[in-house]
Amino acid sequence: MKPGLAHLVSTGVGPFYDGAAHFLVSFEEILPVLALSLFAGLKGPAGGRRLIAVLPLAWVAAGSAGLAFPSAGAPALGTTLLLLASGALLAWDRALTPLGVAAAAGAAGLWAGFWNGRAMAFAGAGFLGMLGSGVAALLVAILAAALATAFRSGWRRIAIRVAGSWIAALGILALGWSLRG
Amino acid sequence: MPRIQVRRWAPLAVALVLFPRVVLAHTEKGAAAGFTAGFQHPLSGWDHILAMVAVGLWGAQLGAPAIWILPVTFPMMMAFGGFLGLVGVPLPGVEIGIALSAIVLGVAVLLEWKPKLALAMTMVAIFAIFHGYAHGSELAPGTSALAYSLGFVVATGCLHGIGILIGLLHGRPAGRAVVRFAGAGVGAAGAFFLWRALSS
Repeated sequence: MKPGLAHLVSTGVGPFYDGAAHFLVSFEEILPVLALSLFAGLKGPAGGRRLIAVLPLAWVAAGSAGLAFPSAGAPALGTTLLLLASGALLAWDRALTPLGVAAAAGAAGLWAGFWNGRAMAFAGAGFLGMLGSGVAALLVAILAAALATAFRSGWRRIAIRVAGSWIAALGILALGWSLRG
Repeated sequence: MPRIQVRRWAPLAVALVLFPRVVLAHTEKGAAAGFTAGFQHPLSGWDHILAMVAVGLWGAQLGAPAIWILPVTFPMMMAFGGFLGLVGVPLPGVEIGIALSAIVLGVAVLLEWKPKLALAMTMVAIFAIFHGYAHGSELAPGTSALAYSLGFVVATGCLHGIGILIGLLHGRPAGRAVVRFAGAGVGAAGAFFLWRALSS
């Protein structure tokens, strides 16, 4: 499997929007954020708030550090494992304290943000591109966490968990692709 | 009032955020083509379509929690089957396994068989491995593997959803017969697939 960030979407309106657009059209970037945000939302408003506060900050902080080390993209295996872990966490729907949610969001934000920063530097989008990705991640996190918070009961909770199983399944397949090379 | 607003508009808001994928599809040709190819793959053969719909039918017949556990189990294990295919682990009798899945699931629906949840999950899991192995590792040149896989998983989930929707007729007197008849059809088709697999 090719590195996910090998090229950048060009919106024509500047690196900030290029970075944001890239996040929104990159499955390997948006899906873990989506899964973790839905998971946090299922844990209630407190979990959602922690994620919204921690994930984008971790993303931008690690992304700023990553700008110093330009690279074409994240290692496929790491990206894949993040996809698998975030999907499995959502499908499992394990009870987790808001602090635990924050820890998971922080770890994911640090990993994804760092590699996003490296890729943005490699693509010439720099800090603005990385910031655009971080803001897009924040927007998706807010919307997904709010959605899951509102849909915490009945069949809608099940539907959200099923979506997590799909993301985990995608991670398993992506792992196969990355091992096959 | 604000709570009602969130409930009403949150899905639309999420959809709008995700919509740029369609708008910007021309910049990610590999991804768009990969998703389309992956989505079409489970729909490319009746053996897959019928077995996956039958999982939904059976889940609906069994009721909660099987109605959602089986459709969760299938994509995960199907992905594992695809993983085995991708890393080159040999799996003999794939076509036979796929045909048997249609027969067993169809007969289970026909007979309204209600085994323990663990057994139903195990059966579905084993069958899913064959389906994933057969179709999870085929990728057209120039397309995105991740997008292909996503399309593949989403299409599978949609087929389960169709099966569940049909299976929900089970709660009505006439619908119950329809669901069992559908199971009979899947089983009969499975027998044909088995005959074809054995004679090829």
